[in-house]
Amino acid sequence: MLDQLEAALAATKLPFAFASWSEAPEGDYGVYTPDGANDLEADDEHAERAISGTVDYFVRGKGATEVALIETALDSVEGLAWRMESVQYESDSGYLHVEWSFEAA
Amino acid sequence: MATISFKGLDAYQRQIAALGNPKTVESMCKYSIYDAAGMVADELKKATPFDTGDLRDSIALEAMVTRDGVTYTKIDFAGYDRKGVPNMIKARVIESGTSRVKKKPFVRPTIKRVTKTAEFMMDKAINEYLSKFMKKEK
Repeated sequence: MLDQLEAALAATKLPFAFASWSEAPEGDYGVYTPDGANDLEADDEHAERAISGTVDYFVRGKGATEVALIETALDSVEGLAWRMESVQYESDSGYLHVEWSFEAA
Repeated sequence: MATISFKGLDAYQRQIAALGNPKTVESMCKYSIYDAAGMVADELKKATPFDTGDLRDSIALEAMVTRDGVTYTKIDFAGYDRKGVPNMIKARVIESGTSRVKKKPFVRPTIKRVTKTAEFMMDKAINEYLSKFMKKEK
């Protein structure tokens, strides 16, 4: 499932890294991070597996184009539910930080 | 001809009517939320990253309110830490990260983990309340 998300984000041509960047880029960049599971348990088994996590994008400017690209990418992944979690402006760095949470079955 | 009689219907009718009273409904909702909200706050405290402990100690439940027929409370990161930073901002920075701080989500995963338990506790509390209420209104 994470592979599909990775492929969809790569198709946006925006710079994304898994979990963190070893060295944060100068310009705009994104990170996607799994942070837990939400499996459906039935008959003492994990009947359906699901992972949850977040996608973050740091953009200088309004970021409307990037946000639209990322949301289209998230929509394209089958079995992935997402929502925009927060939008924050960092006055010290000038970044607009957009955060989405997702859950993928 | 057979005759079937029911006893206690008047009392039952009174109980049902009393249950329809908005004050009763509000009281029942508050009763059901009380323990569940406390449990959620306790679990959040356990999951809060510990440095000075200011953030963990700032977690507090707001007074319950009923608005538009919905009764609720909020869990708040109240006040400021010892350096004068609003605890709400600090919690947000840890939860979501920034371009300079790596995120360490603790609110969303905790809420997800305890939601079912909280719902179970609320369901149990409502049944307890109804049981006591029906006995009292007899």
